[in-house]
Amino acid sequence: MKNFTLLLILTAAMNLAQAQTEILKIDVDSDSTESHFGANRRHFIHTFMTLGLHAQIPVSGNYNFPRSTYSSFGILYKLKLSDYFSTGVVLSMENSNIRLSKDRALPFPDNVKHNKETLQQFALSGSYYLRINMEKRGNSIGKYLDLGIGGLLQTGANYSYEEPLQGKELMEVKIRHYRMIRSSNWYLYTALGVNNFAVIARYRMQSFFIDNSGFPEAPPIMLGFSWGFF
Amino acid sequence: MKSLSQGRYSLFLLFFSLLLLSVLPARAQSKYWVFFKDKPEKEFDARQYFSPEGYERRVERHLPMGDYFDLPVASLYIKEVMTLADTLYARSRWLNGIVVSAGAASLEQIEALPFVHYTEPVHTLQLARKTEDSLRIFRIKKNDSLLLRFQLHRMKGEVFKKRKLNGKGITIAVFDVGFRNVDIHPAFRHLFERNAIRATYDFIGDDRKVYDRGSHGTMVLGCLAGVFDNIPIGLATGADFLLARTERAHVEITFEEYSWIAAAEWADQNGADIISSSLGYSEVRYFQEEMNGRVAPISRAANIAASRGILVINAAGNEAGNSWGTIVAPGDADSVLTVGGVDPRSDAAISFSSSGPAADGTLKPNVVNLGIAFTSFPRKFGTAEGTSFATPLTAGFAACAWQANPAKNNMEIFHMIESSGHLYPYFDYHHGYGIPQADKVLGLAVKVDPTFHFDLSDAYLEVKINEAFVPEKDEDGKLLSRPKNLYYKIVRADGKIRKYGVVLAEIDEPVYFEREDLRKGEKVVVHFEGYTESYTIGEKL
Repeated sequence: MKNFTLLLILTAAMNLAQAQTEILKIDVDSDSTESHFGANRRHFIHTFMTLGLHAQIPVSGNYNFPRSTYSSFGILYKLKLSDYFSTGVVLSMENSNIRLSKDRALPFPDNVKHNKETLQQFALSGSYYLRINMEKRGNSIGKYLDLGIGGLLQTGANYSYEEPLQGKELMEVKIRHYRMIRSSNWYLYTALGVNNFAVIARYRMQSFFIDNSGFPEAPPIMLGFSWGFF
Repeated sequence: MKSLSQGRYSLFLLFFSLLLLSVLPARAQSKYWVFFKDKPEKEFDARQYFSPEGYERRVERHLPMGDYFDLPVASLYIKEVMTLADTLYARSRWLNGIVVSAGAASLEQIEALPFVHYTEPVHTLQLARKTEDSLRIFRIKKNDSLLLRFQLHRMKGEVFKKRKLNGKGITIAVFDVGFRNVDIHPAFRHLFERNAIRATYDFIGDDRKVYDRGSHGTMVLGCLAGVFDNIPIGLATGADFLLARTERAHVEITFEEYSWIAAAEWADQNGADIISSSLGYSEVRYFQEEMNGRVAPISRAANIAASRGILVINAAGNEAGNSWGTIVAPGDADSVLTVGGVDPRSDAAISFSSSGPAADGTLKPNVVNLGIAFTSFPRKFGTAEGTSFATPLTAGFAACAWQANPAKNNMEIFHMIESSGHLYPYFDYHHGYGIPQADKVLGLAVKVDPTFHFDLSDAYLEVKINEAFVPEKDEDGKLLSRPKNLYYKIVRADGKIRKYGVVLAEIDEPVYFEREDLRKGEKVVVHFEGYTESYTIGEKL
């Protein structure tokens, strides 16, 4: 009986107005508190996804990097400084697939011409950015330009290719923990965005491969399209 | 560590510069409102400016003619500004301003002109989520047929019908994204047969074509004056109409707000009595705390429209489910009759309907109507959801109320509609005063006897409803009829609502309040089945 009384008191304390079936219940004070969180409030945080291509700029003589792709998923924090300026940090997981097309005679990564030769890098990335907004607006992201600097830490690297066997069979070769790719790197980036969407350009500031490897350079520029989830 | 060569840096710099260049022109040539301090041109030819109907309306309603708002924007001012600006996009007599594009340097020079009051940036393209209504298109099913009859019956539309009130003599301007197929749709044949659509204008395309794009207006007009199988869908089947396209579908452009303002001035010129607008503007341009009727130009213009004798009716918005939550402009203007939505199944606020109050505490929404409605689609009939459809249902009601009370002015009709709400004098920030009722607006409603009473016990203030309203149950305890809604609110001593809600009255004590949680000077107000009573918390509660 004592427990039952206690339960009744607790239940009563939970709600000001008790009813059997509540269709609507509004606490104006708690619902009307001015928020500091929002797309154009003091703080904002959202997840995003980026898909991109490593630029097809011939940087290493007879090497080409066709359809080299980039993808990432991360979280972005924005601190509003004024109507026109904000700053923030980005954390993401990313994956680069560098596709290789080379002349047989060249020695990188070996001197055999393979099918679907791919260097794959997984990394954790962090960056800091300054955002310039183009116009005064309401509680929306609006049009902006980001200038950022960041670094990445490799979490995995593979080198893979396909080798034809006799007949029509193919052998897939994958070398895990590939050591010729630099395990950390840093980059500059810029993004031009409107609300949920942005075009991103990123420039790697160090070579893709380790020093003294003798390997040519992979494309340093990545162009991507980013989609913010909010 | 090996850094990349200098040549590659230049690639990045080149790319970055291109990005910057793509941004700078937009900044260099932005659009701005330029507001002027005065109107030096005092000549105003009312007969030339207004259409015959617009002129007649002003005279008949004893509305001001040729006052400050009617006078034109000074052509000398425009001419001088245009020596500095590039393109003139719009002008507004009501706001005494023009929209121009200008560079930053030119803007400074414009601001320095002695007759310029201030300038305001006009946002350019924003790819934004619009306040969307969800549309469900069905073949006519039994439920749709029931909804068709119910949506007018919920306002006691049969009372208007009995008195042959259908909005005749009232002109309603409808602003929307377009009225596709209205000219060929069977729902509107009766309007064309009697030339009831007096004028059309596309303020986006700057021509008169409004029937070839945008479906939303077709649906909205259906809830105003459409007919299905000889059954009216809306109440204003006898009214005249002005149709204006002021909005693009899918892409939100701030300039649409200025199209709305231009359309409002056009509606005034052409003798509109009512503006029915199922459009709204929110977070792309504003913050919730700016929804006070004084910040958004569209809200300021809506209030000016009201001062011109026009009853402006606007949707509250469908923002309840997202971060915005509250009403949208111009629904925040105090002279705009803002309409929220209710679910016909529960008769309480529908999940998406924006709630009030306005940022300055003004009661919003003012009234509600069905947020799910049967209406016309460009090629069929069906059911649609959104406060967009609650708005024309209410505008149709307003037309009938005005037809019945031709001597009243727009704000008197505004208050008559509020006081005809099924909850009146109770109101809250989701339901306003409730759904307008024809018998109440015509003064035919009978006084309701008390349906409940307050009962004070040691620990609680209880609400006890009369036995006649308690739904019966079968042997298994299952309710034999749907319980009625009971509305309650706690009002602070300063008049602001602290808490409110709706409960289903399934038993004789459906709601009680803990005495400890009620503060001195507060009022508990309850509405149940047409009867409202309040209990003021005294010292000793």
